[in-house]
Amino acid sequence: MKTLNKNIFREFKFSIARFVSITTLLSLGVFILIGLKVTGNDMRSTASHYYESHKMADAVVKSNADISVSNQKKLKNLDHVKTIEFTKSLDGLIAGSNTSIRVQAKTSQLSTYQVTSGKLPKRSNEIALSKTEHGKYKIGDYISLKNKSNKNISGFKNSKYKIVGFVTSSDYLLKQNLGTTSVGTGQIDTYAVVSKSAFTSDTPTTALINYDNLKGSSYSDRYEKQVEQNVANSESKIQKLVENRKQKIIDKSYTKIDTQLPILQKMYGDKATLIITKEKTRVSTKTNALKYQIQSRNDYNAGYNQFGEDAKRIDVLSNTFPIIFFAVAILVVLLTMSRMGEEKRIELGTLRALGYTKYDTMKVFLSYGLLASIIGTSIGAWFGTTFLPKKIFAAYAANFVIPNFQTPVSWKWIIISLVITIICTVLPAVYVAGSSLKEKPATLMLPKPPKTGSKILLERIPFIWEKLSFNYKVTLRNLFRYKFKSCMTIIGVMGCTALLITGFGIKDSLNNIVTTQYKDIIHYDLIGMYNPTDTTKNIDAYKNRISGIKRINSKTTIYYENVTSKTSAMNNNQQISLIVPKDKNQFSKYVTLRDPNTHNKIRLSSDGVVITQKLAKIMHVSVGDKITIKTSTGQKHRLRISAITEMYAGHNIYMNANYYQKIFNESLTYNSIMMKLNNRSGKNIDNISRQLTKQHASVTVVQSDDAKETINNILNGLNNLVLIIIVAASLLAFVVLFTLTNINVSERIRELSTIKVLGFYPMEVVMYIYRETFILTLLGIIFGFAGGSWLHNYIMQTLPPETAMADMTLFWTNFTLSGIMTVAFSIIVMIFMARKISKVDMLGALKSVD
Amino acid sequence: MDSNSEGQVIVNGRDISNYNDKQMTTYRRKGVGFVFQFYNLIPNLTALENVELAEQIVPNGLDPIGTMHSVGLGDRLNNFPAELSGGEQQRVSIARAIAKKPDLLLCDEPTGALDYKTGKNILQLLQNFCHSTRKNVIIVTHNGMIKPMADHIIEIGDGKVKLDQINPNPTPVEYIEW
Repeated sequence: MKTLNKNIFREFKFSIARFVSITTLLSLGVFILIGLKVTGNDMRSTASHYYESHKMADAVVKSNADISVSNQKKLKNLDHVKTIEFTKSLDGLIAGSNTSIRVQAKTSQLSTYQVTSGKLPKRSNEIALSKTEHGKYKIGDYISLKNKSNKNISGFKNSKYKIVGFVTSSDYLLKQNLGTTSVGTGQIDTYAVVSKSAFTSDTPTTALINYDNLKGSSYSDRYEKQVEQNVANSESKIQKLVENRKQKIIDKSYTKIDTQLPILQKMYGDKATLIITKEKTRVSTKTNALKYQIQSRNDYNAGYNQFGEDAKRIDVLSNTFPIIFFAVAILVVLLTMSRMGEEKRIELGTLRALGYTKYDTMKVFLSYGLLASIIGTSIGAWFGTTFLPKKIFAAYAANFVIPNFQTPVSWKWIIISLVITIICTVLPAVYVAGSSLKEKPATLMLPKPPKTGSKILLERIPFIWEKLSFNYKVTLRNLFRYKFKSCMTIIGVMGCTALLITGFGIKDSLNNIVTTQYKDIIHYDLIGMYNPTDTTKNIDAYKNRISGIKRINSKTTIYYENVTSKTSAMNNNQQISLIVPKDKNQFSKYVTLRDPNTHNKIRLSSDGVVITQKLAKIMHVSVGDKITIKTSTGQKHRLRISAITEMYAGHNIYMNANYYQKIFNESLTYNSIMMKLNNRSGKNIDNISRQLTKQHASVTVVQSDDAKETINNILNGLNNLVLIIIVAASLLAFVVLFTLTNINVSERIRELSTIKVLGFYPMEVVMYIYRETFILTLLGIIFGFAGGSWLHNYIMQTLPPETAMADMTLFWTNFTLSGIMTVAFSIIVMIFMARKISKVDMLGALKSVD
Repeated sequence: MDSNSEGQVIVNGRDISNYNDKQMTTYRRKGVGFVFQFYNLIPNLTALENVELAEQIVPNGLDPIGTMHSVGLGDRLNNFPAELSGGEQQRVSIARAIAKKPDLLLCDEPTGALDYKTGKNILQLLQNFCHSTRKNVIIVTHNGMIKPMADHIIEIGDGKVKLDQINPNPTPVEYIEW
């Protein structure tokens, strides 16, 4: 028995190259499989942990004014509310800088702040800043807060604050663009927390809610669906609440105004009723602006949604890439192992003849396969569990503040991988050997009759066949003689080339989103929103300010509103910008509306809306269908789709004023100005944004490149991943070619020795065998081009986030680069093989019987 | 194929023992034909193509079809090795060796895997080649009975030359029995 083990051990020793190849192939497959499968979950569980440590609220109710005491009580009594905490915040600018800041009231139960250094503010003149400001400020420093007009913020008791600490918050997960605001560039730059006593009034504007009926962790379907359901259920109740409140305020004011009637009549006589009507309208307009909005995490926290989307993108990749990696690796391992079973035929016969049991003779395959699987899986699992997720997360960490990435070991995937690898290694060898073992040992010891050569189809076409040089004849015959192996080589190379093309293609396609979007579709830079219910004087001042900006190329008036839409299958609302241009002829200078396929211009019609491509896709609607949108006041409207327009980032709905009137039953009040700047740099856009938000009538500004940044962030995250995939695919291509050529050489070592003895020069000998590999590689590359196009197309359909769409075109550079790389690997393999062939022991090979 | 550990190997007045790889290959290519015990034909080439394989790498080899005829396989040109008997395969292998018009034909147990009658045919073929072309044919064999057919006999045992004699009247193969 000891000698048998020695024999097994030597099997490893003598075929170390083969052992290393299959172990590498298996570990590559496992690495990509486990790596991509766990990263999404790792990201989600890390984030979930972070949210839990901050006691992040499940939903929030935001009011644009305040939440009255009686309403607070009613909110507390909504179904399934476990905890509710009321808070408020104010936006301002840090004096002496352009930084916009959101100052939150300290909370104790929900969406709490974690102190990273110092302490939380207690007194009304103390403040704790975001951890990201730690470099700029230190504890003990003072900062002053101003409003957009550079005056003290009226809602605060103090304007100057002492910094007492630095904090983190689950409300702000992104490092940039923390949310829209009315100050600065229209985006919040940073945040801070103060004690509730710092505010002049203690009526809250926001209610934070935790539910008692939630199961599962953040981002899980169970959790998200339940929250959405709770939110949807509360929605109508909250709208009723606000309607009642409005009615009460109006009734009260009207009674009050009516009591003034006698006095006014005395003063103004007949005009009094007019004054009263005017006053009543003013009150009702003002009161009707009051709104409450209930939102789940996905809607109230952009970072939450984006992080979830990023994790989902990796899930998408994890459903395709590992399959191809694994498939290619497995094919080659299968081939190698079944070939090993054939090679050891005579040895099996000898052992059986000596009286060893079938199990004993099989042991070599069992141990070989098991060891390769265990080592391969271990290496793959180790890198897949730690290296890959960390690399991917590091890329996302550039945009998110979520720290302490956790990489728990996923035994589920490790066991799945191990089972697959064991099946692939042990089974084919045992099968081949097992079927040999059915024969009598005596027959087993005889070499298998050699495969006969045969004529191939091409020989029937003499005028081609006779022109071929002798070497090509052999090559072609061999290709058809070893059909199985030839197919394997083609499939292997095809898989690798396809992976490379897809890897490079993903990069290009994502990069292209930004270029196409901002070159061909979107031409405006800024939308300045103003409050149409502000005084005429202020609105005029706002418009004059815009006219006064010299660097504006052109401007047009539009109506702009943020609406949402959601199908029952979605976990979160889609954020949509609704735009109604005043001058539809001018509008094409700002946004190109065109058919995605034909590029024909689209006109706005009076019987429907134009929606963007990706929105149509995810809502599963086409021209003639209807979609339901929800305004920020919770009203739902059904819109008919008259056309679908090309757009790569962000959802938009365009309609004309007629259709708006038809749907909303009210005449349109334009509220925004769309601008094109001469200097389109981000710096200039920010600069002009700041000038506009300083105006009293300003609501906010929307920069057209906000979407650009979101995409760029996702892009940066994926770039790293794509790079790893490209490297892994290259390695795979290399090992596959190496293994297949290695098998080819060792299978035909006798043939090679013969021609070597006949006096073929080394290069001729190498080419004798390599010509085949090369032809197969070229064929594989061509098939790979087709496969790569398909794979790229498939992945790019699913990979971009919900709000973006990728340009599907693949550049010819992708094909050439991937092709050249594969050919290069093939040539490197050839050099290896040339060295091996030159070392072939001609005598030994020729003298043996086999 | 192999190199000597000591001494010299002199062929046609040249010491080939210190040739480098390339020179050795060229020497094998142009000067030597090999015949093996186990034929070593390329399984994926027809009989004729196996001969062409050798003929194509030398500047002025023999006509492959003619050579095939001369070894008596004129009607087996397009058969693959697996379709040929052992004797036929060995004849292809001889045709392959002589098609290069080598100065020297090295045969390693050419009859070792063949039956008596076929073996005799092969030896006849080799003797005819030797006598008709005046080229050297060296046959290595364990079969002492075929000694009389040789022009020059060298017996080697335990790595030493035991006998070195010239045979002025070699016996024609048909009279040899073993």
